[in-house]
Amino acid sequence: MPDTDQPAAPAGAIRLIFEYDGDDVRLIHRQPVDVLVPGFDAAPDIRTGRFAEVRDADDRALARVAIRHDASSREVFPEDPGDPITRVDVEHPSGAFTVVVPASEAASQVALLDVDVPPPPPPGERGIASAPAEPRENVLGVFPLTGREAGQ
Amino acid sequence: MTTADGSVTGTTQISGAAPRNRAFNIVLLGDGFQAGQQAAFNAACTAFATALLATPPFDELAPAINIFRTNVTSTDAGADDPVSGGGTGATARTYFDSSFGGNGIRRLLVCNAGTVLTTAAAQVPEFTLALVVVNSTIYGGSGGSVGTFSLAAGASEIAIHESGHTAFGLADEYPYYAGGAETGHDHHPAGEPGEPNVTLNTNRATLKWGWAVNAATALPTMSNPNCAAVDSRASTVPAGTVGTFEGAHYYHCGAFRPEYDCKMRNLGVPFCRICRQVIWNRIGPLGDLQARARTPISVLARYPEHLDVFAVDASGRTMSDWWDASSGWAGWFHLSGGISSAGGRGAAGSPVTSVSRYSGHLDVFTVGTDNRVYSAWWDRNGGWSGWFALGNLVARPGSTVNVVARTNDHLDVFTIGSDGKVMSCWWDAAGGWSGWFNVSGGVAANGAQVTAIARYPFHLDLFVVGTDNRVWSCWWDDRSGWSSWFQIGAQKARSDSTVNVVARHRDQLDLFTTAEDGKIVSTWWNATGGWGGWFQVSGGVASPGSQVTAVARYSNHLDLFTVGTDNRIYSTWWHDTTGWAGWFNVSGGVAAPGSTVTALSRVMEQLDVFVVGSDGKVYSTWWHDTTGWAGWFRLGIT
Ligand SMILES: [Zn+2]
Ligand SMILES: [Zn+2]
Repeated sequence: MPDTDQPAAPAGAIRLIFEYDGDDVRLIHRQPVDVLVPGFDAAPDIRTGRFAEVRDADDRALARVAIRHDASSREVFPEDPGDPITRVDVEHPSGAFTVVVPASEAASQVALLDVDVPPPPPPGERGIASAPAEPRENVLGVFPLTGREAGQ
Repeated sequence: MTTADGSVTGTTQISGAAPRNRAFNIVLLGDGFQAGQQAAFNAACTAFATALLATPPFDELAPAINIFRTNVTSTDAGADDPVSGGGTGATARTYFDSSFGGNGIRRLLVCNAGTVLTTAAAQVPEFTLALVVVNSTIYGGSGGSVGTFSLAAGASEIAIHESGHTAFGLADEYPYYAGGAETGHDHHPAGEPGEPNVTLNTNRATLKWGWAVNAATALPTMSNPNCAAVDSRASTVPAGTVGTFEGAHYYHCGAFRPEYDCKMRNLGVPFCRICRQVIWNRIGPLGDLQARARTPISVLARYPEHLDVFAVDASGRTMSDWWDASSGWAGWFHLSGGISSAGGRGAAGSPVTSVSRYSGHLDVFTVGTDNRVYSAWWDRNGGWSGWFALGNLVARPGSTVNVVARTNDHLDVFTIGSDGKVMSCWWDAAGGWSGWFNVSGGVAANGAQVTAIARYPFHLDLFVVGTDNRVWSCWWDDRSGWSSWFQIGAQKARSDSTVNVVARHRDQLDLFTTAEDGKIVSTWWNATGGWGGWFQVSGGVASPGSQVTAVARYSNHLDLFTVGTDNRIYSTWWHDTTGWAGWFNVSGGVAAPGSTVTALSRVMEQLDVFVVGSDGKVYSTWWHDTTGWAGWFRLGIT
């Protein structure tokens, strides 16, 4: 009996650490980890943002985990309470981020996606849904979840 | 300035006792602390833990939060402080290469995030959030995937604000980008922001945090009278009032925040009610759900590899969890802030009921604490809506809202009014929501619920225990409209009994309910023979208050579930060639007294079963035709 078909079966997870320099993204660390990926991070609805999409060997999407990292600007905090928090643009983003993805037996690769969902209708409008505009997806890179350890 | 400029000396857990694989794990790493300065780092970590765990809602969530410190010895003390950022020009050889003056701004304290993340992963593989404490009394910090903060007074607030972005997906609520003097930030551009704590919408019925807004609070609560500038007036309402306050998400006008102030707007103030709720929904699901014991659970499979489960917690909160074959169980989260009616003394309380009109959509229903009927929906595009009231009907306290989707574009909704009348309304994609009406004059027994089934897209059958404790039915057909109510045989039912119905095929109905003495009784109808007589099913007797649940996995097979008088969970089945089997205890399970078993078949060879156990937690098990019954597991996050 494949245990991925059973509601009780823990899925297992893999931590990934990426470094980026401008548009160049590299996987520098991959590590199986005994940790639960909450639904909060792996919600099944389609949202705007950056995601790690777990795919099977046939490129079918299995799960998407949010990556909440805005590299385009940084926040500057005031020394005196009450003074404004401000933001500054980052000219040439570089840095690193991490994500933990669920890894069922079928999971074979992970794609980094920037998803842009057209603005939804005002909340509560649920008349005849004209087909929602298709979300735009930009694949930043696809990385293996199995095989030779990355960054080791 | 690299990892050659120091070494990791070890990791110590300083707060929390949750299992690391189901906790929110925060790792604090030191930078610019020399070997003899580790006590200062240790003290800063303790101070941060104290500050975080005193900040609502982290105080309430503390049992699921572990905090670790990773001691790192650096060659030099402090951090770089370049002249280009207005600093002294000091340099320090440190492990994570921390530096003030990022982007030419002295307070922007940055570090080598890749080294921090790989070090944290090596020290605490299960970490959720990594923060670097920098050995300097110069005020500074920054966010991103790694938060940094210095030893200056109040700098730990930076880390808490930044975790709002990184771990919880919260938006900035401040109404400017560069402090308010910048141009181009007068009006927020069109397009509702995806974050839960800012909006362009001030419509009470559709506001995404509408559940938290008091009916007496005006919307918008504060409007900016001059969009050319930031509204700097004091609040016009008491602190803690949830409404819509103009000026948020980097713009003076057009975008609204939930409260006058929030930690996502200003450091040193509490998180607003909405941000607290979002944080709860990230960490709370790591724990167990204490369920309102007798409220039935609702479950549906939008497709065979996915389950959505709805329950009500002991304080009445509407809760949900979901399972996906690819990612396991999500954990219990609070569904759009809803609170369900507990009903009268000893009542089961209103459940959250659910229907899926198509695989990318859910509609859910409950009766609120004001005894009005509420609905919310989830859509693959857009996620969860807020709860909104369906008309002005006042339902009987604790009433169940039953819903049927005859087609993808139509819902029929049924419940019991405060006067016991059987009430209905409908939603149609073309016309929206109808008003409420009484179905053919029907009145339910005190405590009874109405059930509905659509055997065809143009036909409905309704069932209810009437005020005479007999079982009554009526139907709707698109050619003839609603029929009168008629009595099904002479069987008397328990007045709080639900009549459960399944259609094994389109021209067959099987009914199950409990007699006045708790006996589990059944009858049937088919198109060729009409109604059969009532009979007791295999000698079964239900616990007071418990209902009978039926599932038809295929056209010549039925599975039944109930809680017996000994509170054990029982099942039996019927097969057309062998008739009714005897009742058996499912995997040793014991349920809360008077609770109800929920079951569904997402594929023909499988049953998934859900109950509230004798300890008030939600449990599940499954049956598969190749392996039989599994053991019970506590439903939460996996
Ligand atoms: Zn911020
Ligand atoms: Zn807030």
